[in-house]
Amino acid sequence: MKLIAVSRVKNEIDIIEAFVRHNARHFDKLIVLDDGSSDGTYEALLSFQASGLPLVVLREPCVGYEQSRFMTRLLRMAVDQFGADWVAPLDADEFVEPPKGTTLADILASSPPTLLTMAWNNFIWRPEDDENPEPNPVLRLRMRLPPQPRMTLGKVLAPAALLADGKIELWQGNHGISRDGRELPSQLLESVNLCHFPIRSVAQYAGKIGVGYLQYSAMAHWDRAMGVHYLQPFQMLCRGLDALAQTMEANSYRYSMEDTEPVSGEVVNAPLCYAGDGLTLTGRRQDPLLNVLRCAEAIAVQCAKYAEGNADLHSTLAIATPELADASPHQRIAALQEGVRTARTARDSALRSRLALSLEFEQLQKNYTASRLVEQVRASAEQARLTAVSEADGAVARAVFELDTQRMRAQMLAEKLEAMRKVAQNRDHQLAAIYNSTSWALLRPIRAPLRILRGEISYQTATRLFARTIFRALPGSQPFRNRLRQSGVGLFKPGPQQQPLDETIVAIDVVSTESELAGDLALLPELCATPPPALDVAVSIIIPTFNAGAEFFWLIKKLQAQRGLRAVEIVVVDSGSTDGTVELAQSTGCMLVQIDNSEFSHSHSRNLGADKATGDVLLFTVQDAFPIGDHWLQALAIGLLYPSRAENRVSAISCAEFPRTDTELLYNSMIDTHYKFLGCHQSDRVGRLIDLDNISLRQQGQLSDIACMISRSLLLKYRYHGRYAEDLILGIQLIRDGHALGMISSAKIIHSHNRPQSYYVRRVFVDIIFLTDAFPDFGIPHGCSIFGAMDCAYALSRKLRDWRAPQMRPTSEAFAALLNELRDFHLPKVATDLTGDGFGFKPLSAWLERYGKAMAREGQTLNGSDIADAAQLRTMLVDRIANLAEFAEAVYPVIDAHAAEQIQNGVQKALSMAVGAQLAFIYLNASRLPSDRNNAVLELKAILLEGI
Amino acid sequence: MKILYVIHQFMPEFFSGTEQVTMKLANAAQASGHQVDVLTCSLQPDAPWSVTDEAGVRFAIVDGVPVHALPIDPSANLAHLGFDGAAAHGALTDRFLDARPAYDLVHVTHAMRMIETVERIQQRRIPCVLTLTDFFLACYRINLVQLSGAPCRGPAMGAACSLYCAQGDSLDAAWLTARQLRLRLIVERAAEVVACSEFVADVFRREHPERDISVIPHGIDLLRFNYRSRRVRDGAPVFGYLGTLSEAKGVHILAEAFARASKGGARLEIVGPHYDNAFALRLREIAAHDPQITISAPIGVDAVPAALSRFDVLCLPSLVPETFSLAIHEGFAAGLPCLVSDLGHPGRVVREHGCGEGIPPAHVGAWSDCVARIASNPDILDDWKQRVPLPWRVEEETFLYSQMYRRAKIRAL
Repeated sequence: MKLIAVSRVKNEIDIIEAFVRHNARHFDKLIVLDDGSSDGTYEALLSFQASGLPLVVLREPCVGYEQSRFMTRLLRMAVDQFGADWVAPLDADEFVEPPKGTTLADILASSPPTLLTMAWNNFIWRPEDDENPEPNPVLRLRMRLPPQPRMTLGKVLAPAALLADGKIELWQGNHGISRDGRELPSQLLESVNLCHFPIRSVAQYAGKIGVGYLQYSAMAHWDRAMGVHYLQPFQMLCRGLDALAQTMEANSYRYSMEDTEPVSGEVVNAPLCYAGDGLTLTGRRQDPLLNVLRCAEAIAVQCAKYAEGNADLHSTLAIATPELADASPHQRIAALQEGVRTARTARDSALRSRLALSLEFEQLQKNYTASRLVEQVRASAEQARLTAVSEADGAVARAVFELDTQRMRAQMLAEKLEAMRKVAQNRDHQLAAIYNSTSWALLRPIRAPLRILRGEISYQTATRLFARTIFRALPGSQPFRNRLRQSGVGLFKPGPQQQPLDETIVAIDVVSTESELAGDLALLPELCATPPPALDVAVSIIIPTFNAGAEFFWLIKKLQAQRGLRAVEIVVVDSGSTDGTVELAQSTGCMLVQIDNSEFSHSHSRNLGADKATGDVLLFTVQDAFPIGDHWLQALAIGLLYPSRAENRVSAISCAEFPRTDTELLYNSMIDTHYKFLGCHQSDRVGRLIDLDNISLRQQGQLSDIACMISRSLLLKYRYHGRYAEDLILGIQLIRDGHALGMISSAKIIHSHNRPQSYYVRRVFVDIIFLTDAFPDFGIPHGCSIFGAMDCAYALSRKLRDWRAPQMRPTSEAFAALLNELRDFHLPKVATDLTGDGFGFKPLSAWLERYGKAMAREGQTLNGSDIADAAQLRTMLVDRIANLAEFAEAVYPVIDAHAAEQIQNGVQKALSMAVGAQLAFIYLNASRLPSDRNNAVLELKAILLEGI
Repeated sequence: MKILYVIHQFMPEFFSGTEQVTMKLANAAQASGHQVDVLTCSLQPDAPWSVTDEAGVRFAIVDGVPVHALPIDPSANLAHLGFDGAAAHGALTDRFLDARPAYDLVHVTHAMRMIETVERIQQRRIPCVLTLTDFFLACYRINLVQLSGAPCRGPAMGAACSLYCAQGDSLDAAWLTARQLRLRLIVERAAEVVACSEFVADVFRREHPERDISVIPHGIDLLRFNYRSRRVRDGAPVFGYLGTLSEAKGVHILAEAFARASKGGARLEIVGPHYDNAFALRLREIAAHDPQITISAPIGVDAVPAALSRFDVLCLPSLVPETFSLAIHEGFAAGLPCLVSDLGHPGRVVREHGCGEGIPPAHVGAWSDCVARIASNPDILDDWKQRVPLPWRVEEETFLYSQMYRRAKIRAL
């Protein structure tokens, strides 16, 4: 005789092992269907199967609690495919318990082949059971109620003969069996207990209730009579785990019972006669919320699948598909119109097929008296029909929308193409005029020598090109404009033939589908599941250099290793390097432009590079930066040329910096503040003109020449301006003219500095001079006293030199104490001779000493305006240290030697910054000073700007 | 963000590769303004921990990074690696997590000994980024080599472990299957899974076909390598080996092959520490019979560029599949082509770039032939040199991880 138990389980990790090991002693085989467990139940079952237990493991995740349908299928499978003589549908919390010394097989051997019922023996959960470390729940729970007297709360045990005709249906819950809608009578199998452990721990019960309720909720037309025991506990669960736990013990006494039904008898301490081996996998780890969420997710996924059922419609729309990459606008529109027609046909077809299905369902209704099932199927069909129609309508609407968009785009493109054609025609005419002019002919002999002299071409190249020019000028050769372009000879040398960039935007589908990061302007392909295709774009990289050092080699190599572009060209604009930078640039194939050091300015060098560059797009960077990944340029080019959304379209794009490993705390803190100000700290910023005040212009118009990509034509139209802050000036010009700018953190460039103290004096001085120059509304605080500011600065310097951040103390505590000390710091009352270290900048130290001697105020009492300058410097220092503290406290909650050193350096440099700022204010107010002091301050400015 | 790094061992007790990588990740996160903690295991109570609390959890700050260590019994069965004493470990983890501010993200840089911890973290639904630096999560032997010595394609949900690597009572088939099923869940439940090489990723992709596994290679301190210091070959080539002198690394195969080869004036320089005296003696015996083989004393990290600048070609004769190999990438930074066992990541990278040659592992004859071929025609090295790829910088690795953190956090919302 062959006994088989069949089960459908979901999230039973705490009991599944005990269930399998125990019931495997009483059945020849267990067939277990996993309903999409998310807690490891399925994997555990596979493991038991692999270890040799008599187990058949199936998996069929399903939305909705369709227990009856699946269990009926399993019953038939047990008989038809595994030859069962008796089949017991069991839940994972049910354990058969025949009398001691007997087996279930022994008992059934003497039983006629009739439907039997095993009475539930419910086990009680008590709060103290959760304290018990025993991992096996059927040993942990020891208190049992007498067998449940109601037959409808027992579980059936069916002989194969009963199941042979295939017309039976197992009830939801396995409590009975119907044939043709009529309940089959059963007899109580008195000698066998069915020990039932429905409530085992707070975590398990919460998960069970949450998942069970969701499963029932996902059923169309849920009959609340089914799963009624989930309703009240779910309400309690909604109030929290504690609320649920308070009702659990009572619920375990009355599990599945009517409210009016009396509890049958007293509980007794009589643990299950467990027949299985010891547990190897079971722990008491359960996350009820996770399981509930996974269940909800599965339901959501299933809903999404209904929608995806109409995906074929979408695929026919053929928006920007590769096949259309080379199509003309007219061909695209035709394809879209075809897509719309297909979508409409598909919608009609869906309606017809749903109608046919309805007819089939009517037929089904005739054949099945189980009206509940039919009603449910009909509801599902209706839902599917509505979804299909809605999806088809949506697809049509989207197609029409896309069609309109494409039509508008095509019109714009046609207009642009026409304009470009006219420009090209004009240029042809102009070039023809030039080429045929007398001056062109007269100048021809000296053009090549001039280019040789300028170092643009070698003598041999000039000779070769000359010969080629002569050859191509022969009658019958190519049209002369192309000849001219290809020859590369002449004053009017045009660049390589350019792709009209805007046109290619609709031709290449490079838009990332990483929805979570959809707001990003650039996505490094290393982070994309599907890397974008290579772009037909040539990028010229322009790098101003001066003694770039050995690191420059790696930057060149990294740029040359960039992938995903048609071409990469490096233009090095060197201003007098003596450390081998020039030789390196030459030997690695860079285009080299050399200027005298005196000729250098940030704008001029970059403009020179742009003039020489031949790429479609320019990328400005600096000699000590380093791109991230091998597709960094491509990512920026995609962000610039192929934005994922219309609102992300920008005219130039800049990267935020990612600090080097040798970066310092103060620099990180400043960058953090700066990027928060710009709005690109955690996400990308698209800057547009919002207001005309300096804050808004700086926030929205900031580009960074650490890495700035822009089309060549746009840069050449605007060009860089200014001795420094050329990137900000360009950005503001662009947004004032209606352009949008990207400042991004989704792709960054490695760059940071660990500058000496002296740098910060000059850096802040320059920044403030620039800001007041560029922005008329930038307020200038008072400042007139070198003695007041510098005597205070030196006094503060002496104080901070002796200050040490206390180790193994909270950072917040250390900074609070320091800031209090600084706020209470007594400002100097008497002038000194201004002797000091100039904050590490010797020219400043020397100037201060000269100034001190010239003014001869040593020993004199400082006056009111001196004190005001001193107080202002102190306030600026306190503010800057407070800013540093905010960052440091987040990064280093407690100070160790490393943090102490970083903080110490940061504090010293914050003082330098305050000094630089106050000196800038004094310079900006210098016109009000007497002429001797005014001249001295002008000299100070020259010192501080030297070499910048 | 508040980021917790979980790793099997860390400073101030251990200072090897994964610890260094984790430290750099933590430092980079700090530089970007994040608050970090490291949670690890401590096997040595006498290590320089600053504080030990009443539950035995140790604490120290290392270069600004707070490190917390759960005590672990050093005599625990290493093959079980994190499964012994699980309940106590889990309780300590819970206690730790309850006492700390809520973490926004956890990065598991190595899960060995920390399985219970990782499970607790995942149960708390803290987004978890999981790095696969080796095969611990797929292989209890870690190296993906079967007991027979044959290479393994992966655990196949534990079936391969049961079939090929079961041994004794404590490592029987059922235990191995259960181990594998448990570890699978850790991979499945991670918000992001990152492998250090395509080779590692492919093994796990076979095991988890529906799981997205990204690849972020380890970066190196590229700027330490000055291109101006690169050696210009002068005469017979110098073959070099830089790494631990151990059987698994196959350096004895290289030495035997070199001794056997017809090599003209070519030399082999072996540099590295050893932890197995018998093996070191065996190696020295081979070298004693061939004056063209030298074995140099181990060097510090700072001396690596100088050592590599003495070689013309770097040899990696490993007998086990290397998941990444810092040595080969440092060799690339020094501009060196490589001879490698045709195994693992080195075999793959050399094949892809054509910057050297992959040789059957443990095949003395094949290695010997290759040495002879290069010695007689060293110009082949110049050709390979042209194809040496550019290794990644540490900052590239740390930036991509910062983006992973961001994505994991967004997905968790």
